Amino acid sequence: MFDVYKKLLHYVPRERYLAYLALFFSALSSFFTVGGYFYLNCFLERLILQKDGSGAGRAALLIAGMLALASLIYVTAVLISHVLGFRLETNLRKRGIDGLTDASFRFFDLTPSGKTRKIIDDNAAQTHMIVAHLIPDNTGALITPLLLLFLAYLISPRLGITLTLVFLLSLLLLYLMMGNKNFMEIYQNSLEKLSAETVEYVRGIQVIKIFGADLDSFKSLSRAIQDYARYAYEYSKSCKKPYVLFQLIFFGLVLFLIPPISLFIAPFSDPGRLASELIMLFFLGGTLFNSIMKIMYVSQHAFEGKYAVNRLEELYASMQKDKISFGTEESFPHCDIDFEEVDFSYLEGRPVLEKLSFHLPEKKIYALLGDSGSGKSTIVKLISGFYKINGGCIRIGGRPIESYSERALSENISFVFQDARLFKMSIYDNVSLARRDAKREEVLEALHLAGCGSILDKFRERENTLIGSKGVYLSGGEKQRISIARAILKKSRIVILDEASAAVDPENEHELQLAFSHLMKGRTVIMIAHRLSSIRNVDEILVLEKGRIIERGSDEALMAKDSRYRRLQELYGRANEWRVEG
Amino acid sequence: MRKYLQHKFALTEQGAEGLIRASIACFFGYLLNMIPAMILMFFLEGLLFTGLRGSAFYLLLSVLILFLMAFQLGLEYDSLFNETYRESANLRIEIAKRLTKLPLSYFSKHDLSDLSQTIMSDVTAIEHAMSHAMARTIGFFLFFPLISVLLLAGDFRLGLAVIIPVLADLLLIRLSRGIQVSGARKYYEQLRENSEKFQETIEMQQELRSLGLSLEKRAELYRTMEESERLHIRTELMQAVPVTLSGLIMQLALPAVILTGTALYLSGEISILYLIGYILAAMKIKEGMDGLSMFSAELFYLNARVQRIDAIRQTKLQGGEEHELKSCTIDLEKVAFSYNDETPVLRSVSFSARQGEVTALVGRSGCGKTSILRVISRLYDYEKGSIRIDGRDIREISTDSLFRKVSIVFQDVTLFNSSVLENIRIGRKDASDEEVMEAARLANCTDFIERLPDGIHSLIGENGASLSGGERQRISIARAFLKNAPILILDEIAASLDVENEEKIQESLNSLIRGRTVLIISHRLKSVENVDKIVVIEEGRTEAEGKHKELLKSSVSYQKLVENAALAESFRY
Repeated sequence: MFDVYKKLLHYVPRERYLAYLALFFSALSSFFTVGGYFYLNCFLERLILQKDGSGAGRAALLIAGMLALASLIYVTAVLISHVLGFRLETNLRKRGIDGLTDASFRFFDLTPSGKTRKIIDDNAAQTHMIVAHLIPDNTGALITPLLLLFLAYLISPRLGITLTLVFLLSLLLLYLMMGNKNFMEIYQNSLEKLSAETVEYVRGIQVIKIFGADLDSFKSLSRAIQDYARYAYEYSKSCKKPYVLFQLIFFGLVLFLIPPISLFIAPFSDPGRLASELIMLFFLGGTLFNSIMKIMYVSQHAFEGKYAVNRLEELYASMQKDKISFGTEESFPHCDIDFEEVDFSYLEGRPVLEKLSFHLPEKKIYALLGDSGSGKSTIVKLISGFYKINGGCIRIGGRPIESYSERALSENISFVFQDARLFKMSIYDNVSLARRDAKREEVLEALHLAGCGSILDKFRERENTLIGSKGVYLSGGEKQRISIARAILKKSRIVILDEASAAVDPENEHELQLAFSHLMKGRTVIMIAHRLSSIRNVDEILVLEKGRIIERGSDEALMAKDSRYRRLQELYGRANEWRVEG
Repeated sequence: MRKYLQHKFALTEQGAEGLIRASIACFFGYLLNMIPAMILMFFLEGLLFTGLRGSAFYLLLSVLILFLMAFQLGLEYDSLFNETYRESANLRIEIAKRLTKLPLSYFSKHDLSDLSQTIMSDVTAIEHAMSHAMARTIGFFLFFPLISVLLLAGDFRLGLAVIIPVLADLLLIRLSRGIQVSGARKYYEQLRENSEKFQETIEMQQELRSLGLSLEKRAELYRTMEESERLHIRTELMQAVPVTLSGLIMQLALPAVILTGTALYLSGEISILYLIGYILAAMKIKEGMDGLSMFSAELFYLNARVQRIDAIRQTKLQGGEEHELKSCTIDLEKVAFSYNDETPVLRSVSFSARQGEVTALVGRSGCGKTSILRVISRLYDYEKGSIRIDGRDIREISTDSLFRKVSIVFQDVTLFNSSVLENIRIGRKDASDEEVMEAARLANCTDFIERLPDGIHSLIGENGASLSGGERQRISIARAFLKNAPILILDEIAASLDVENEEKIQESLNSLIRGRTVLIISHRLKSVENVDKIVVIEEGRTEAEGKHKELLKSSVSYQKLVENAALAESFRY
């Protein structure tokens, strides 16, 4: 347990003193609580043994004072540790945010978003528990039993011994309950699985509705739900016996003792003293029970907390593993792109690119062609600089891509993604993000050039219309046009178009093509074209297969021979002539 | 009672019943817990005054009570813990099932992470409260009046000394409830917002990086975290005041009894045994109250979550009766619809799609084509006009009956993180493996399936991350083949297929279409030239309808569409 704290406190170096302060106050509070019981014993002795009524009255006042003080001090400790806990939570999340900023896209490609979110967000919240509530409770739970035992011995050795035995027995039962430490991991794993499955389920609700696929056929979620419940149930079942026994020992403590006392002890003892000790046993036993319950609660949360931190650290590590580093170069000398024996794989052992080399001189338009899985999307993604390659080198302008600053990359390379996504802000803001210092006219011009006029016309607030759950929804084609407006506004030297025109409607496709041409002028363009007819005039066409470039050249050159390119063009022509048979 | 609990804590029927059982078990637990104190008193009386009875008597009594206690504790344990986990599973399943019945409009108004949270952490919180707070709280409220009457009957003044602090404490908890609930809710909403921000940041990484916004986003999230921390501290402080006070009051309950009792004892009004008895009782009740104040905080915190789940339960479902559709002709008349009440998407759409014919919808992006398909398939309910299938208003046909007859292939294909086989089987859940494979073959999925490491059993990642657009769409077509419904809706089909497979896909589409009522949106105008009917949509209205040749003469919009398509076709970069 202490290593968890050590680990956690590491994240709040400046607030560490708060931990010690909370520790001190809660120890103090335990001391006063037990002090109250000390005076309770005085009270009973005065009352029963010495029949000293006014003395008992004074002791009663002291009890009240001690207990009230203990309660106030405890609250202080809790407040202090809460402040610490909140700070820790914040710092852990910040660490997660840093990780997100640094991580390579391979991380995002491989880790379900729901899972990442859960680990960063929820796990951090779980750690606050073990700090905020558990530092005082831990301390109290550890110190109070010791003080109680001490007090018991002070009252009489036989009371001390009895309480010690009860204490040891209950610890043994506790140990039996906590025995299965693997459980926590299984539990957390199944919880995470549940989280990821839920995100997926909700995302697919449309499909689920249409196909009437109920939860039973949506096996992975229902399995995740059932698994989780089953693990929890099994764990709960395994704890039943020790827990019931544990409660019985405390709740029925005097019942266990009365028969033997009546036989062996009562006949030989002072009845007054015995009565007073029995009452004290009743009280001390109750308090001991509460402390042990707290230990239990503490260790349960300590498990959770420990697990939460470990998952967080694992996540940080996997974010860091593919961390991409940026350099300091602020500008591209020129925009030639070179791949030198580049190796890349999303998953270990399944290479997408192997020793791929090519050279693309700047200010030309290149079209990549190939099957899905041929590596064309991967190549354009790698040029963005947000992936860490496994081997080789990618150069832009003759310098390795890692030598450029993040700003240099983002300013000089524009991307129009296949699945354009917009931020939950206004259309205008979504575009102006591309270049913050752009004038209003420039943003509107970019929207116009990207053929977004008809989108704006639909809404009363035009470019100020909000997008997202609090605003309006746009179709895939509309989103893509807005993201093209971004690229136009950005005026970067390299433009990457990934199946850019796939979802655009016929009416605007031509306008958009014009906009693209406008965007492409004088830049280095790499496109994954959808319309094979439109790329016939590009400078060079690269045909890919299984991560290799199998053909390269102009349309004319490639069409002249029996090339794969020619076959693709023929197929495309035929597909284009296809008619739905009415 | 059951209904009340079910509503109050967002439980299932079974869960509420379990909670009642657990509460009763806890009630007896509290009661039984008083018995050792009573026996102790009885024993002390013998010890100090009347002389002890035989050991056998005490032994018998103790064994009897201990057995009773063990039995009760076992029962309580089962009802608290074991049942809880069944309930949490039931609750999750209920919510998940409920979600499939909600109209899709619900999902466009709520975020993905928000809904996932509801299923996940809200239920986890309820689960925890169920195994800890709920039953014990209810049990205590059953127990407390009973013990109060007994204590007051024994000695009125001493009884009051025990009860008054408890009542004061309960009152305090009740009074502070308003502050606590609103504080907790505010913080809870903040958490949810944070959660959405995280989800967005993760999902939008591509954009953030390419726009160079990572650092800015980081700073924004940092600020959000710091703000939440401040809010959290404020919330906690507001809660701390009543909790502190209530802790203090309870700490003073014991001294109150001791002081009152001592005074009464000194004036000779009560015996020492009475005094001791009440001290013991006060101790036991204090233990119960300590728990209660902790539990009540947990229950307050739960409120906002319960409401969240309740909102899902209260959302109006799409109505309609079971109806076996015989004819599949779809008639639309002056249909109007908007996603939010402000911007109408469909203003007045009228046409009919006759059984066994292919009807194509054309128009520029955003003109409402996709929305028409959505209202026809009742993914959303239209507002004005009428849509009839088989002569019936579709709003009177249950979605189950309707969906049985409709297959949809969307441009955005949603896939699940399971095998290709299971993803296709979504089309018809009772389909055998052979039938699924046949559907895969018809949709030309065979070639890419063979390339996957485990063939049709390969897992395809979150939302089919490892598949290309063309492959995704083919899976979607395979689903439709498998479902074999008489009405087929194709939305922007063939929009992102691989050239090499396109031909095969087109063949299979043509065979999929045969003999069905088909509504199609195609981004490639040419491909729908030969269909039975083309409907031109312009800004949410039907501008014209007819065959290709007729429209070329009669519809200006259609001419323009065709011209633009030709321009795009002949365009060269």
